[in-house]
Amino acid sequence: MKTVFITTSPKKKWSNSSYLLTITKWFTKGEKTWIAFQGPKDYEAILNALQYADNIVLATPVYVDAVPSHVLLLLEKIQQYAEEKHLHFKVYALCNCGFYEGIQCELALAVLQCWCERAGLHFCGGVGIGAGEMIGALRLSPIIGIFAVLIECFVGFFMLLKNNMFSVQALFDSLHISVAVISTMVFLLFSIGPWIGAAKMGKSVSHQSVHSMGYCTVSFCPAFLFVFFASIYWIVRSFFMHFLPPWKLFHKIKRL
Amino acid sequence: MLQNTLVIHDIALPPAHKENTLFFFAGNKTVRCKGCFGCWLKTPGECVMHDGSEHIGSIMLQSKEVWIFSKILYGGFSVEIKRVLDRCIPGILPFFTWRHHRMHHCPRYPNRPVFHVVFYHADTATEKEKLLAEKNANAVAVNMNCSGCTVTFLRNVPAGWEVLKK
Repeated sequence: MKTVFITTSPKKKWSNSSYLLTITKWFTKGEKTWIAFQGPKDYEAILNALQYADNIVLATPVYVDAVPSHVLLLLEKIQQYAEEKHLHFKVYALCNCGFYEGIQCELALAVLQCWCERAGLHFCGGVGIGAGEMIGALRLSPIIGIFAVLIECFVGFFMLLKNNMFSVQALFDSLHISVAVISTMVFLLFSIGPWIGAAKMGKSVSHQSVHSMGYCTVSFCPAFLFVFFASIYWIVRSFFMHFLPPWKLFHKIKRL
Repeated sequence: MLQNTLVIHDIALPPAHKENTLFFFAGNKTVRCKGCFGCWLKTPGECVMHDGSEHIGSIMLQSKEVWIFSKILYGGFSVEIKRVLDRCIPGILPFFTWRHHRMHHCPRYPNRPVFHVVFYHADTATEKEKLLAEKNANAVAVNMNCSGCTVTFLRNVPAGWEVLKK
């Protein structure tokens, strides 16, 4: 059984679609091919891979309530190819949107279902995952925690040496290991729902069974907390990456 | 207010000369959204890709009426129209609010346009696709904080802009 995993996020690095699709791939058995679709240059690789595929798993972000324009183009190409070659592989979909509710991916999944019906492919269901950007950004959480402890370790080491008080015990006592533990726990707790959603999809692909439409979002994080974290995230990101003060985010274009 | 009406279309009709109306042809000139969020975080309200579509989001959200003429494709908008819609997010803020019991983006502008979506080639679409297209159009309207949305299905490609007079 051959499965082709296609991630369609336009982001080359730190893509949430690729991250979630990787989890599905881990739980899928059989021969696996991974293709990151970035644009027309990847059409040939995708179409060649589809020739002998039994299943495809398509991971896509949701842009303005549906699949992005470049994915629509890819769908048209695949439809044309599948009709020419009389291909009838199974299609599984993994959609992620920036909103909290995973169910906001339902229209994108429905579009993919309509595409399958037109192209003569078997739509075997999908997963809609909410809070996509947060799930992706959560990967930073343990990295930041561990990095903070490493810096503390580095500084503590030189401070203890300087004061002639160095011992492994003294160094260990000066560290706040709990920072790394808590940040890792936050990452694990919040991510577990989407991981389970993506993993279950992998199981369905392995068995080539129909996967009912499933929706999930960040676990153990109520919506109001998500809104709070998301707001902080946008402000911090614009400030540190683009040196933009928070009030500038509300800028209105008045004259063009 | 920039103008009263914005018409986004993917049909190769010459734009009609209508007062206070901007005709925007969704052709291959419009580059697809790269998902960089630069329009929210780097140059708020304006896309970072300067291809002539960088202000379309702000124009849309400051218009009284928005007409969208699109071929129906898999129960949604055509590739060209979707490319333009994907580029419209500078018109809204990255922050969240609740509308219709679901999370949506906060509006950047106080104006609330009315959406009129016209899907053509509807004779080639199934009932399921038409229903989905209607849902898609309404979802975009809610997401863009519009005050209303009408959806029309045409069998063929519109021969002119008469539908705008309705």
